[in-house]
Amino acid sequence: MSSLSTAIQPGPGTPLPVPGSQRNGFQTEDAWAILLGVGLVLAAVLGLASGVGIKWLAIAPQKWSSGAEIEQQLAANAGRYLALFVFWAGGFGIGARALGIRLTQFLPAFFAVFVLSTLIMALGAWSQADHYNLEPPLVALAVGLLLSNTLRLPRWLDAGFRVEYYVKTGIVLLGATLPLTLVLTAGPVAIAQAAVVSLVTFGVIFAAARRLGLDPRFAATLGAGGAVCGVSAAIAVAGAVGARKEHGPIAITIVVFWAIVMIFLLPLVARTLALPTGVAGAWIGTSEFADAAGFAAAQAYGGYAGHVPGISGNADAAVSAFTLMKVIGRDLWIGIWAFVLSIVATTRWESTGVQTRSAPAQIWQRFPKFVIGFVLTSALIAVLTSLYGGADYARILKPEVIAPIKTLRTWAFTFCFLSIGLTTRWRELASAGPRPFLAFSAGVAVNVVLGYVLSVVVFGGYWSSLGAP
Amino acid sequence: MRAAQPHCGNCRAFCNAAAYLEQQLPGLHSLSSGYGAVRGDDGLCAVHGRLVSAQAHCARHAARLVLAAAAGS
Repeated sequence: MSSLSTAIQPGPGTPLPVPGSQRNGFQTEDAWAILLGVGLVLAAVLGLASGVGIKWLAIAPQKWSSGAEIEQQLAANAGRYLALFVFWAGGFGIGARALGIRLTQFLPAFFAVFVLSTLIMALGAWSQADHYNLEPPLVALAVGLLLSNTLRLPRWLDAGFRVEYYVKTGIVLLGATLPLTLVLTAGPVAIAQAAVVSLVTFGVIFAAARRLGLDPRFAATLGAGGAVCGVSAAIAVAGAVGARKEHGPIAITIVVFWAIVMIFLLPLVARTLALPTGVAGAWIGTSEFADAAGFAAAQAYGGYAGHVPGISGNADAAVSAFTLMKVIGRDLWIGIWAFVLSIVATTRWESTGVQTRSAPAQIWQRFPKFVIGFVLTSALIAVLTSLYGGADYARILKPEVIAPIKTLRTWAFTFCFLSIGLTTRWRELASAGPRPFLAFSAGVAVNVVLGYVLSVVVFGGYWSSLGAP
Repeated sequence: MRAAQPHCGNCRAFCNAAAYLEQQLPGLHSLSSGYGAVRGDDGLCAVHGRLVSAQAHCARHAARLVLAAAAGS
């Protein structure tokens, strides 16, 4: 066989990696999400001292009840929306450029994302939005799905539809609104619950896949996708165990399918059962398959608080519980999953001809580094809060720092939810086939039921008290 | 130093560029990304048709520098 025939032939404009090099931290979205998110929180904190905060920048549509009202509202704040666009385009653009994404493609695409997000947030602020169940996260997702699956959007627009970049930035900002004490006290509960569900879900999917005759590496890829952090986990484990290339896209298709289904299904069922927001958030964190998808579901459910009769808790509790369960309870452990499975693959499964080095270094290498930004912003605000008394917190910190960060976080998440829809083109996804779909679905069934039992019955009291005064 | 040792990261059959992975793995950028930290330095091997770590190695290694030298000659 000619060695030339095996050389990778990347598409036009696709950069080849430098021979032998590893990616440095700044070649990941995690690093840029941390820089942007922590930078914003620092700017808000320093602005408090200097009197030039981020409050002016943190504009969002307010409640309106007539077309003329929202038109007037947007027109009156046009300068602030323009400044906000420039800020986000600049902040995300610097990172995108560093990642090798062309700004000539990123900026126009991001402009479209920003304009659509503004319209979706304006719709969510409509006085009748609750009546028509127009929760902005679900609307953003639906609009994105509709556009990407009915129109032939140019592929270069994907440069600006960066789901992970936006959600990671949102999570870093979320840290500033989640008390560090809550992260420290709830963390062990979340980890215990997530450990049970993750191990059982992985076991069910792996066993079902093997029973259906699938290759163990493929079975592990599917299992990680269902048990840990969705597509990211599936691809991380696929690389760690040396799965076949065609198995990656199949796992992606199945995870994306179930993740999209769960975005709509979990809030709907939780609403029918009138679960408190904290409990529903924990359940979504246990049973959703991807961070971005889960945030859409949790934020949508949080929006029911105070609007849907019978649903107790506040809006933040759903997102907080989800974050603790998903990010702290499940995402953090992907490196360990990959490391352990790589050992199993090299020692117990048939050789592929590729010798993998199962070094523990990959635990850190695969660590979702954006979580560091999440903890940093949480710690930063904790220090600031300790410097202020309770009264000053409510009078100064909350309106000048926390509320603007929350608004900017909502923007980042809306960009993310819209981008999920805009990048989920069913016609482009790989065909999954019945066996992997059945194996994964068996895990989904067990995961959803077990997640419900743990979130509602076993730890229900704990999650329902989350965020309570 | 390590670049001189044969491993997937310096093999011509291996590519781990994020844009390339997103192109080759349809749907990757929908709920994840080629630019995330969790995939480490994994990439695609054209010889074995597998997702592998840049630190892995095999008997069919073909140094990328050979291609560069050929292109330059």
